Amino acid sequence: MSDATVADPESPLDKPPAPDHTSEGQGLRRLASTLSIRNASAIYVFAAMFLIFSLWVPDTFLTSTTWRSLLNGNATTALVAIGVGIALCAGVFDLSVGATVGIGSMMVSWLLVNKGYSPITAVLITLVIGVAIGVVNGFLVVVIGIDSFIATLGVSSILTAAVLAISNGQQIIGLDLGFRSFVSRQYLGMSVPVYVLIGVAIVCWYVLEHTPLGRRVYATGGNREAARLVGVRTGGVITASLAASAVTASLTGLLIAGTFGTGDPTTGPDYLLPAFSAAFLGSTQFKNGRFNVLGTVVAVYVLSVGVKGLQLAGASFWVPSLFNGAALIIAVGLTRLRGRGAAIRGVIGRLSSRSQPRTP
Amino acid sequence: MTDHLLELSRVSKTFESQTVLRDIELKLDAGEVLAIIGQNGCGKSTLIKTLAGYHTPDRDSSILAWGAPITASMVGAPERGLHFIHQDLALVSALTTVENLEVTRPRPGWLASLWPTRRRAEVRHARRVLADFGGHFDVEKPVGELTPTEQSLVAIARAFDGWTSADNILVLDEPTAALHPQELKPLFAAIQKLAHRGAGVILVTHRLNEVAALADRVLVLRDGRIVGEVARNGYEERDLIELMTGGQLKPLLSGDRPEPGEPALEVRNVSGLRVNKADLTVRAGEVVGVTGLVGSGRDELANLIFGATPRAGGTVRVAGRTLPSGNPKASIRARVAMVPADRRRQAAIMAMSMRENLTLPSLGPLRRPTGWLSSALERRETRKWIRALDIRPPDTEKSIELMSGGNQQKVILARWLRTSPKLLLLDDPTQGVDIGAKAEIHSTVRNAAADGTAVLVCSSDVVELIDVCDRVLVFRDGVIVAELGHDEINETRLTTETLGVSEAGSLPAPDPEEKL
Repeated sequence: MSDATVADPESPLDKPPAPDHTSEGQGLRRLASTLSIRNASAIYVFAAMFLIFSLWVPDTFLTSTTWRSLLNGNATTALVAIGVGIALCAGVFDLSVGATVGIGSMMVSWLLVNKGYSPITAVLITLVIGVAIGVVNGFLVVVIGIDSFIATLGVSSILTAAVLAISNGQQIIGLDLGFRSFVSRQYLGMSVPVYVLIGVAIVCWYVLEHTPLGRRVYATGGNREAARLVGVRTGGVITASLAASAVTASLTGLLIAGTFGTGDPTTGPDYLLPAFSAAFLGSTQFKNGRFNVLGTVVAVYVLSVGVKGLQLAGASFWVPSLFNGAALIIAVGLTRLRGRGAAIRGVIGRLSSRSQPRTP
Repeated sequence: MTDHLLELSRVSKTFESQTVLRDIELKLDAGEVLAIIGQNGCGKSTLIKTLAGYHTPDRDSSILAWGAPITASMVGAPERGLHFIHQDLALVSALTTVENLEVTRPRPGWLASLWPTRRRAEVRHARRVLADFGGHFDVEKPVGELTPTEQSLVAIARAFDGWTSADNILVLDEPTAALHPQELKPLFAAIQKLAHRGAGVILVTHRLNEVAALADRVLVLRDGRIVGEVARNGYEERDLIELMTGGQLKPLLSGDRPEPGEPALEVRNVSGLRVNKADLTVRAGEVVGVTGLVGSGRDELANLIFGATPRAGGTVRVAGRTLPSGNPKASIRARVAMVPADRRRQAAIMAMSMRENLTLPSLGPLRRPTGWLSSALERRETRKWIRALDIRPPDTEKSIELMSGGNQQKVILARWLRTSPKLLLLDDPTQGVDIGAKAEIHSTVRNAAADGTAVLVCSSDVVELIDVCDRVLVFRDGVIVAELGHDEINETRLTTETLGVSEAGSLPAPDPEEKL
């Protein structure tokens, strides 16, 4: 890979040139197709919801308080979802993110309160523990060869036990005041997790979409054997993406502890399903079925705007869950029926060619 | 009218203004084997899918089966039914032969599918059906562990199982893509048996020798039209090629083979699961072929050299550098490239575009000074290769999944030529590739050799070996048993050496596959 030799095909081979699709307009066309309804339905859904709720409950929906709480309240979910998305890019499930959020929250509280560490040391140790969890996940998946779904499910359960053991099932209160006030203060109307989210999202977006490493992550997720045969260290890539996923989760956990000022042993598991929903929903946006950072963040916020609007409009307490679930199924279902439908119907057709209905 | 099992007249199919099939006229009689041949994209698959009812043909088209318009209930019907066997056979590889046969058996009502299965009777039944087609193997072994030939017999037996009348129609869509020519015999015998009993068989294929062996009539498709129809023995292979390609096929290069240079690949004592202490040398600029039956070692050698699978022993040196065992990355560093046999599983990353597939092994040179991977540079580079190999469609962002097999293979080949390899390993490089793309791939390979690349081609395709190789090594039971110089490479010699018989005519009974 370090080998920079690249052949120039033009010299040795003489072939009539194929029609060339190069033009100035191509970049624009690509942009247009990226923002088409097909590729960016969430943006249009967002616009529609904005319009509806603006007309329906203008007094509450169109206030800065609402939007600030939307932005601040969902940054943590978006962070976990990005982590989940990175693992999915590499073709593995990380079901331990929920419990890792719990570990992050509990660990930083325990280190601050019970051990009396300084905030910086406590934060660093918590992040290192996050990396370690990811490496253990990677070891189980790559070296032992356990399916990632099962390995991270098991690890998740063990981490939940660890959270309960550390906390003895009790909240840890009285976190360092400096840490608390630093994390929970708002700057320019936005909380610290929002800034962290922006930073993490930019780094992950850059790495995944604009570096050779990111390309190798996608290649590993796309076809692990083929990636190995073009020289990708797929084991390393998988371990690294699981580590990235776990470290984002533990970072989220410590931000939650800082925001609320307590380490709560029940924090964490609630993040797992929304994060996966957002990652899957995000994959239907912009990149044609590929997990991507921007799509994931957009998905989190579009869903939360819908939920918020419904709450403000006085919907029953069970409506948000219904909305989240239905949005996920409809969004992913539509891409299946439309884009890849032909391929999938082809497979089904082949499998059932003996009993296939026909329309002569 | 009712004389024909199947009669198509004026069958056309248009997709969004693009006509894929045009006025197809086709008749199939009982007891007849009809071959349909043509290059990728000629409309073969559309025709088959139209028969299967997957596509609805255009208005004026008429498809009559047994004199009546074709209906849904005919597909898979035990009497007067249409039966399809597709390229991938659609067997469930984790299930046994018995279970695969039972899975598709129609049961009376859904409640019946909850009744306990009668295992004994099913096993006996499966054995009987398979024996009928010359299959004598363990029917309680998972289908995935059977040889490709045995699997194809299971697929035929399954399609045939339960027929109550002989005059059914069987459509085989490239059933032999994964088989070595010598492994085809049992399959051919099975097909002929069905035809003799009165079934009508349609065989869609790339392989011309199959056509000669089996077909009573041959239809040649090009650009969605029937461009030729010939009866058995009424044609030469060359005529068919010309019909298929429309005469555009360039003559294959021969003669101007450069003098080979320094040894580029030295394999000493290399062993694997099948390969047993292989020794061979390939010089720079030389194209060496490796052939043999499936399981002879031919299909393992490239993987062992490249490090896709670890070696049991021996050393491999490329341009003086020793390649570690089981480390593809190190091999790539030493400028070794491998085009694997299974494009779908081992080479193409279907979720990616042509550009991303092509640039993958060497991304470093495509970075801007800031480290940012430049997709503009990638596209420029990809377009160069699109022109050089005439890849179609010439759209760098095209998802590779949506390209034809031949063009996918060109992308994979370009992926590696781009790394200017010292050694190029090709494992069955034109499997499932149509004849036009095949010739282009062959001339690309020859050109690479002319530029000084050492090439090793592992293949079971005799024509391929004759076209591209300077010499051919023959594997039998894991050992190299013969080396043929360029002038000695011909079908007879290759068959003789591959099977290890004194004359090509006397094949060892009952089936070469069973020895392995």
